[in-house]
Amino acid sequence: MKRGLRYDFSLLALLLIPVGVSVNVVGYQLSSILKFPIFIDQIGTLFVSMIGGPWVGMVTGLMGNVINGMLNPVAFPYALVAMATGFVAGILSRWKWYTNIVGAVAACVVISVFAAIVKALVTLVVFGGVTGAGSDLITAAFLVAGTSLIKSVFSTSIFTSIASTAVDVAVSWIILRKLPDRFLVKFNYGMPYVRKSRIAS
Amino acid sequence: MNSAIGRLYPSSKFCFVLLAIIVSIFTPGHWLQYAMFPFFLFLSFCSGTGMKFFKAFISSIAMIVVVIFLVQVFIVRYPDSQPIWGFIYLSQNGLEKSLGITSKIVASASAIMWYFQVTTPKDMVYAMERANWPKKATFVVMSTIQMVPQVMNQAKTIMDAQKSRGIETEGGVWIRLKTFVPMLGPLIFSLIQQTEEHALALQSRAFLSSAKKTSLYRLDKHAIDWGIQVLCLILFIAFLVWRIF
Repeated sequence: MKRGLRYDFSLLALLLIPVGVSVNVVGYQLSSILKFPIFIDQIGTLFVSMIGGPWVGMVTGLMGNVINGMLNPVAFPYALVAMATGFVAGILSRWKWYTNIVGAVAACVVISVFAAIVKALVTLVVFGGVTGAGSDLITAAFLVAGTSLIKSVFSTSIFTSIASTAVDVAVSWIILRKLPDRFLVKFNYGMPYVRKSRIAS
Repeated sequence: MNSAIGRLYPSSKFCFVLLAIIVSIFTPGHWLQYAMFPFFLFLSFCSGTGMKFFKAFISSIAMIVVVIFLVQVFIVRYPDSQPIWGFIYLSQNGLEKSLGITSKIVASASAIMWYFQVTTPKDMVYAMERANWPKKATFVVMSTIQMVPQVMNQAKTIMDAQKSRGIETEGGVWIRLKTFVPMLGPLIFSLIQQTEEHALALQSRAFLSSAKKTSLYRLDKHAIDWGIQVLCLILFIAFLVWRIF
């Protein structure tokens, strides 16, 4: 199966993008209903990247933030974070990292590092370090302890990003492993997740 | 949306917003940028979305602006910081820096918010189609905008169903974390089923055909739209000339 920017956007993959975006929105609402201090809002992006690949994942991340940005423009610059998350998660799916639990845990670390770096850069460059979210308290605590602004923002970003990515990857991975095979085979990146035992019989 | 401004062609409004953002980012000082907020508030009242704009601005941007001020002025340490009490310092540099950051945020956010409040997604997608964007891109934008509210309703139904089966939404972190799977699992599986049906429906209606689409919905460019676009271009060139020379 050919993969790449020109081949990944099949009709089914296109239809998966709105699904990913809406799952992101539902995840975000759920995390505020369940009163989590961090926002679990990338489940859809990760899920789409896992079966649709890096480019489709990147577009899902972008679209999610564009939809949010229509109501609250602060979300626009953070589209870069969602795009990086989707892209990295898709690349890892191409390397078949999600076929076992060790790979999934490693993927979680890699994705959170990339997301954290992009997030910290956006926060520093666009907003000068704080954005009025709950995690600002951590940044402020670091600042009060005498850490420099750049270091504080990076540390906060790493902490929040590892926590939220862990939940994002875990939930989307559990769902990925339960997807029906006849659906997985239709996607460019779904083949590794088809159960081998069923192919043989 | 039915006002004179709401009926303008989406790309003329877009040119104007883009110009406002470019000007506010590259102009030194902060008074012009802060003036953008009353200006867009005035425009919103002219287009009949004044209160909506004001409420949305207060609930999202005002909070951020206040937080940035407090942190930059009192907590971040600069060479000229003067200790006041405990960990609170006062700094002139911090004040200037926060004015610079917040003024740009206020200006760009007002422009973007105004644009999305006076332009319907339908008009935007129509303008994108007319401007020969790839068909797949316009389809993704349109279907995402339509799908999110539908899925939110569906998620509410699933949540009620799972609650009636006694799912735990309170307790320790681990218990609350575990709720994600029974909430999102059924949602994603039903969405996937819909996706397959959706794909069949689109294929049977010649979605993948490369022929040019016609639209029942019409939106025309009037003389005033051309006027606004040309004016924006002239102002942009004038701005470039002023900033570079």
